[in-house]
Amino acid sequence: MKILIIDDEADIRKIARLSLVRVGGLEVVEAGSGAEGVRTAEAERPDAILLDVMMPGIDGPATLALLRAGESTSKIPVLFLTAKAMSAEIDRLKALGAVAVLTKPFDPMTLPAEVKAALERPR
Amino acid sequence: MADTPQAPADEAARLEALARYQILEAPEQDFDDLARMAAHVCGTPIALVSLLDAERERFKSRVGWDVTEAPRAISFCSHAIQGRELFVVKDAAADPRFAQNPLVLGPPGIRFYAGAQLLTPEGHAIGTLSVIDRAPRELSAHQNEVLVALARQLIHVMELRRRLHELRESNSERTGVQRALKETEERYRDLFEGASDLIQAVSPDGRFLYTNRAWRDTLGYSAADVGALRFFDVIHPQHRGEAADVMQWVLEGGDVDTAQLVLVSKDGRRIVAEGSLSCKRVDGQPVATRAILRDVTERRRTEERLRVSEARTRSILDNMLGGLITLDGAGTLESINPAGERIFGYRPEELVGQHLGVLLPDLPGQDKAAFLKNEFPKALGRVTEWQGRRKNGEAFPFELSMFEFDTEAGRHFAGNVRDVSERHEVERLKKEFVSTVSHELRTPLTSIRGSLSLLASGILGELPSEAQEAVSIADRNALRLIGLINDILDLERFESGRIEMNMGDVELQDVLQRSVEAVKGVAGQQGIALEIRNPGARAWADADRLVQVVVNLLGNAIKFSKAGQSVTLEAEQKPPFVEVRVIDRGRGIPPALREAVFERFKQVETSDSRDKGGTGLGLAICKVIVERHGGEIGVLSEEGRGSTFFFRVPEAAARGGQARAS
Repeated sequence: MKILIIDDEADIRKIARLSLVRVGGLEVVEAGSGAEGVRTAEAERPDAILLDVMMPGIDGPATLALLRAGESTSKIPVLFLTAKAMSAEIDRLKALGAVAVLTKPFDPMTLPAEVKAALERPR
Repeated sequence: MADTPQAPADEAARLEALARYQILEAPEQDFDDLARMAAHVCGTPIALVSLLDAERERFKSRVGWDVTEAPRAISFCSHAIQGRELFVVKDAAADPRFAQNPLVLGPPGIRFYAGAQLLTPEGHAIGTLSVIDRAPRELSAHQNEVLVALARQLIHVMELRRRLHELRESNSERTGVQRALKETEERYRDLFEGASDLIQAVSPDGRFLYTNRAWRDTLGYSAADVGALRFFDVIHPQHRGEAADVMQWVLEGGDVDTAQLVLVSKDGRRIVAEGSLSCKRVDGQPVATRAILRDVTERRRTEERLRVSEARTRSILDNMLGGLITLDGAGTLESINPAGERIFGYRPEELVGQHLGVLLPDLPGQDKAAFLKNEFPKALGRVTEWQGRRKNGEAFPFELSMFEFDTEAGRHFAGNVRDVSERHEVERLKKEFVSTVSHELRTPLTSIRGSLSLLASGILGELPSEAQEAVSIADRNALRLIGLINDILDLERFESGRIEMNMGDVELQDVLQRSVEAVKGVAGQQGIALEIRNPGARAWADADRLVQVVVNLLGNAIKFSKAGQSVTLEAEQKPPFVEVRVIDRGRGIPPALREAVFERFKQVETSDSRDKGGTGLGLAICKVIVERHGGEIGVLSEEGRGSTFFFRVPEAAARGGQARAS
């Protein structure tokens, strides 16, 4: 299973990569911005995308909209990663069409399981 | 018919002169003697002293004929007074003027008549001295002479009597005046003596000629003391110069209506007196300065206190940062302090007299006065937020709290006005800041915690045991830091009211079970048993928030219990509340700290946060959450025996009833 991580923070991408690869045994590609993320998604066709909400330039929700608009990317499940843990924020993000909203800081030991569980949930 | 002569030319003056003698009514012994002498000298049986008034001839003295008066029409006297010579009728029966006169035909049967005029010093004939005989005859020249002389004597006596009488009158008048004068003086003395004003008269050399009782009482001197006193003895030493000036002015002829003299009493009290001064003069020389003064010490003191108090109030009003407005009952601005004017952007006094509505923005489709009438009472006794309008048209939020007060002029309102636009801006920034901090802190923490977690897991390779230990410490503390950040953010959001409460009818059983579920792992690890006692209470609450509170309390209870002890979780309906209790059998809380535990970063022992974990914010968050529900939280504890944390939130039934009622 191939996961695309879109986050402007390289350290976060690195931790998430280590977690998903080493703990979850998943394949990972990375992108450092929304625009790059959309291009990578088109090129790599990941099975799921971990998308940071707050990014400079094209932020998480805007990236999601671009992905949904792209023919090859519209069906890829997206999981938001947010530092805002408020329930109202989580509800808002879910309403945009994300399959799950994971909050930072995440636990690298459980992250792969959470991602898999979200993808397996019937939509 | 008898011949009646015309009244003489001087009749009016004659009658006036007659009245002056005022003897018409009283018989006079002296006149009788003179009448008798006349009859004797003339050898007539009858002699009369007659006074002739407008209607009658009155016989003041009669010899030989006992009548008191006769009508003027038939009187011989009225003829006699026409001339100034002795009037003689030798034989009345033969005289055509008297032949038919009843006094001739009847008693006394006059045949001879001789009358000498009674002439006043001014020459008016007021009557006659006459001698009468019942037979015709004549008088000798000597007899004539004597009769005229007696008439002169008679008028002389009358004149003396008149003067005597006048003298007596004037004498009695004089004593009357003296008595009246005395009474008046006593009255004035009484007035002065009893007056509440201080009255004094001082001689030019400074002796007191007079002082009244109020003066002596006020200054504390007896009447005996006053004799030795000099004017400047009663003037306060610091005010002698001005008193001297006033006295000089008065002595030189000026009157003073409102002088102020600062006096000093016998026992040294300072007395401020105010009043008028004038100078009495005799032959142009001053003999006394008179003063009527009033003790205004107390009034001055009151005025001074009032002035100080007013100045202080004014100073407070002028310098306070909050706006203060007063309105009359109709909403017209009566006053506004400088801060109020600044808030609304007006110049001093521009607003007084305007309606309060001028401070509010226009309301589309609404009458401002009607709006105010409805909304205004809501500000009475509490703080309310309004949209205001500054003079330049800018809208801004302000807080208003009003109170009513009554004066003689009727009902008024006063309002505290506070511009909260800055506070609103600060709140907005704070919200942004919290959100930013939330993100900015979590992002690096995600990396730290993720790295440590991966290291500790060994998935990136086994670490030497000491390294493993160090990584574990770092990981545990990173976790604590994350918890702390979460708690701070939570607390801030609750306190600012930015967390929406999702209120509903909550089964306490669900809340208790979810809470136990959350902590039972930890409890199990520490060998602590958890029990729930709940007869089925239901609250009106946000279920997730209640779970947050109960988990927190359970977490604490577990932390402070020893292996083998149990923690009890109870819920009980206590209308109109539901009470939840978390009971442990741990070390308990010292009484002094039972209130403090709900404050931020207050743990029972400073070592607790290190040993027991926790952020020191858990109970503060619980308190905020319970209070947001309209409930309360507290703790009962016995040291060494354990603690019972309890909180109360409204029961579902109470809230449901309220909802139905509204």
